[in-house]
Amino acid sequence: MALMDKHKVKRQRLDRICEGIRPPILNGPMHPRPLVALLDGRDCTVEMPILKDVATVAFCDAQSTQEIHEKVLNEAVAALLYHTITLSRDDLEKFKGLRVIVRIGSGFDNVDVKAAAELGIAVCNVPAASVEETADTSMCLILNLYRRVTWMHQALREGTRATSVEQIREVAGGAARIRGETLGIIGLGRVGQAVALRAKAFGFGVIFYDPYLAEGVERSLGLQRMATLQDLLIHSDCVSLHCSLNEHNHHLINDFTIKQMRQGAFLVNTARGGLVDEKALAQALKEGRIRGAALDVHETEPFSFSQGPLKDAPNLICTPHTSWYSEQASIEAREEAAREVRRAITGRIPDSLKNCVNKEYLMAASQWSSMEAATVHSELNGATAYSHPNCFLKYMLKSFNALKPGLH
Amino acid sequence: MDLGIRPPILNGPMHPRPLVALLDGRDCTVEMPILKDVATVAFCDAQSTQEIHEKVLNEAVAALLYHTITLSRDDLEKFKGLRVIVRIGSGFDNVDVKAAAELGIAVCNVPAASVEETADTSMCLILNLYRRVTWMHQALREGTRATSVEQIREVAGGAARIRGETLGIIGLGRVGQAVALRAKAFGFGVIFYDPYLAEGVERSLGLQRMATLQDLLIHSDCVSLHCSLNEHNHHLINDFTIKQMRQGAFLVNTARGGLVDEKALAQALKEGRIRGAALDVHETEPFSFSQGPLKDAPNLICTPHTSWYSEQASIEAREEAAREVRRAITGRIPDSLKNCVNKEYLMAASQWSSMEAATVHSELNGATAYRFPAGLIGVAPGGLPGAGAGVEGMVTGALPLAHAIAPVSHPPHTPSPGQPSKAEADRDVPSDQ
Repeated sequence: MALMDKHKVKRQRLDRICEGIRPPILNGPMHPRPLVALLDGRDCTVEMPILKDVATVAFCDAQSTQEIHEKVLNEAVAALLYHTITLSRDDLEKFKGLRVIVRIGSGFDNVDVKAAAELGIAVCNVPAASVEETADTSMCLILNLYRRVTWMHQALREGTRATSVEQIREVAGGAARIRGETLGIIGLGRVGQAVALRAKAFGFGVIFYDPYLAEGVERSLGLQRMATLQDLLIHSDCVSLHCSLNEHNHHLINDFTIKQMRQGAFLVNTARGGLVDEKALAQALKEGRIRGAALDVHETEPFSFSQGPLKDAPNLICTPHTSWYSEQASIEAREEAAREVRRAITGRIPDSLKNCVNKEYLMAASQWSSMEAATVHSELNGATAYSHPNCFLKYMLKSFNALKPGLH
Repeated sequence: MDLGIRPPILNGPMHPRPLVALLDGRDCTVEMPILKDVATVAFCDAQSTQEIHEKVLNEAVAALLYHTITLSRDDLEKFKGLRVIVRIGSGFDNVDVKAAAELGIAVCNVPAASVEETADTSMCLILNLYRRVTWMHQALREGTRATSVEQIREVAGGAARIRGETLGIIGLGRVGQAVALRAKAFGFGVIFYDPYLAEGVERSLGLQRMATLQDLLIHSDCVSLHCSLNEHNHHLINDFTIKQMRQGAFLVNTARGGLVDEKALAQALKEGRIRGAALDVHETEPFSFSQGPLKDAPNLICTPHTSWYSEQASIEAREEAAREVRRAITGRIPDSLKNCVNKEYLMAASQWSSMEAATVHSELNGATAYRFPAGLIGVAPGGLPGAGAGVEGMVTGALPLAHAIAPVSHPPHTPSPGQPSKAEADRDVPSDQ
C-alpha cells in the first residue's frame, strides 16, 4: 500500500520535473531577485531590511488564495504568513514556484505541511518569540477566572455598586482560593512549561498530559505526569490547553471529555480554537458543569460575542487571538521569519533552515525524485548529494515507514 | 463615683452574656456557633454610628466590623461599655486606635486570612495591565472585530513583554512578600520600599531594597501598593511623587484608597504619564465609574474592594474574628488577644488610670492586684484590671497627668503614649497570677 503511494508520488515528481515547474528540493542560487510574498498582511517594514538585498518583497493582504494576485501565485519563491489564511493542498497547488513557506508564529495547522512537502515546499515556523507572552496571558486568563477581575470590572462599568460587605461578597461571588487547586496542562511544550512554573508560584498543584514528551521532563520541573487525557481531566480543577492542533486532536474537548472533567471546572485555551467543540462548551457553561471558560482562540475567527455557538454562554472571557502579542515579540518573530526566508534563498533547503517543520516529509518526497533529479537535472544543486541512491533509499524507506499514517 | 461604665482594661468575667455587635453587616451565621454560649450576638447593618441603635451603643461590650464603617474618636465615645473592637480583615485605618486605647478599648484585626487572595488578585491586576485581557474582553463585548493581524496588533496595542520589567512594591508585609514571589516567576525584577521592615528580609527573598520612596518610583515600570494606611502616608501617590515615576509606568492599588490622590492620578492617566492603573480600592467607596475624580480617566481597571474575597478566606476571617472576641470575653484584655493592634497605646493609657482603679474599685476584678498604694503604678503583664473609669477627683500628685479628669462617663485623659512613664521601671506581678 505504501509502495503504491510512493509510486504515485514518483509519478507526480516526474511530471513536475519534466515540466520544469518546480524542482523538489532547491539547492543553489535561485533567480537573482526571487519574489517573497507576505500573504495575509500588509506591513513588511520589519522584513524589508533583512530581505531587500536578496529578494523582492511584496504583500498580498489576502484572507484566502482567491485574493492572491496571479503574479504572486506564478512567481513567488517564498511565502510569509500569519494564522489568518489557510493553505490547503489545493491552495498550495496554485503556486507555481514556491519553495519555502514561513509561518510568522509557532502554530502551523493552517498549512497542509505534508502536501507542501510532496510539492517540494519546505514549511518553517518561528517557535520561540511569543513563548512568555502566551504563558503570561494564559496565567492572566486563569487568574481572571479565579479572582473574577474582568467580570467585576465589567459589572462596575455597567453601573453595579457594592456598598456593604454582603454586596461585595455577592459581586465577587465565585471568586475562589487558588492554593490547593489543581491545574491540568494539556501539552507541555515551551508554553506549557512556562505556564507550569508560573502556576506553581500561586500554589497550584500542577499536572500535565503530553503523549509526545520524552520521559523525565516531569522530574526536571517538579510536576506530575498523567498517563491519559482522562486521568488529567478527572484530577483538574482548571484545564489549560497548550498543544498544537493536528489531525488527531480536533475537538479534543468535546461532550464526552467535558463529562470527564470535574463539576465546576475552569477551561482555558490559548492554543487553537479547533481543540474545543464550542457547542459542547456552551452547553456545559449553561449547565454549570464548567464554571467558566477563558478563550483567546476560537473555532471561527475573528470571534464575536454576538455570533456562533458561544453567543449565549455565560461565564466567558474572550480575547481576539492576542495572547502572543507584544511589540517586542511581534518584531522578533517577523525578523526571525525574514531571516529564515533569507536562509532559504541564499542557502540550501532544507539544510540551511533553522525551523523546518516538514523536513522528514520533504526528504521522503525527495527520495523518489532524487534519482530523477540527479539524472535529469544533474547540473542543479550539487548533484553529489545523491550519488548513493540505493543506500539513501534504504535509509529513507525505514524512516518512511515510521512516518505517521496518512502520508500519501 | 460611676460604677462600671468602662474600666480602661477589662480583666475577669464580664456580664454573663455580654452583647457583641456586628456593626456594618447583617450576617452573623459564621460567628454565632463560636460565640453563642458566651455572648448575645446582634447585627446593626450600619454605615455610620448614627445608624446604630441606642441599646447597642449603651451595652455592647465587643464590636465586630468590616471596612465600610468608620469609628473616629467621636464615634467611639458614643459607646458606653465597649471593651474590644475586632476588625474582620487586616486593615484598621477606619478605626482611631489611639483614641480607642485612651477610652480603654482594645482593637484587634485578622491579618492572615486573605493574604494569598489579595496577592493573587494583585498579580491578576498587574497582568491585566501588561497583557490587556480585561480591556480586550471589554472591546469584544462592545463589538470590536479583529480580523487581520494588523487589526489584532491594534486591539492589543500596548500589551507589553514582562521579562525585564521592574515591579516596585511599596510595603513588603505579608501581601507584599507574596506578590514579590509570584512576580519573580514571570521574570519581573522586583524591588521594594518599606521603612518599617527589619534589615535582611530582602536577602531572605532575593529582592532589592530601595532606601527611599523616590528611589523606588524612579526605578519601577510598575508600582504596586501593599502598605497599610496611617497618618503619615495619606496621598503617598500624589502630583509630586507621580512625577518621580517613569513615563508610562503602571500603578496598582489593592491596599487603601487614601494612599492615592485620585485627582492627580486622573490627570496623569489623561496625559499618559501613567500608562494604566488598576485599583481595587478608592478614596470614596463604593466606587463608581460615573462619579468622582476618575470618571473620565482612560486606561483604568477597577474592582469594588474585592481583592480579599474568596469564600474560604471570608469564613476564615469571620471565624478568627469571632474567636478573638471570645478570647476577649472569656480571658484578659489585652493578654488573651492574639492580634491586638493598639496594645502599646492601651498599656500606656492604662498607666494613668490604674491607680484610681486600684483605689476606688478594689473589690472588682481580682482586687488583690491593687494592694499597692499610690505611687506604684506598675503594670502587670496581664494588664491592669480596671474598674470604673473617670473617677472624679482622683488625680494624685504623683501622676504627671497633663489634663484634668474628664466628665464621669470618660476615663481620665491620659497623655499620649509617647510620653515617659514611671511605670517602666517597676513592673509588679499581682498575686492573682
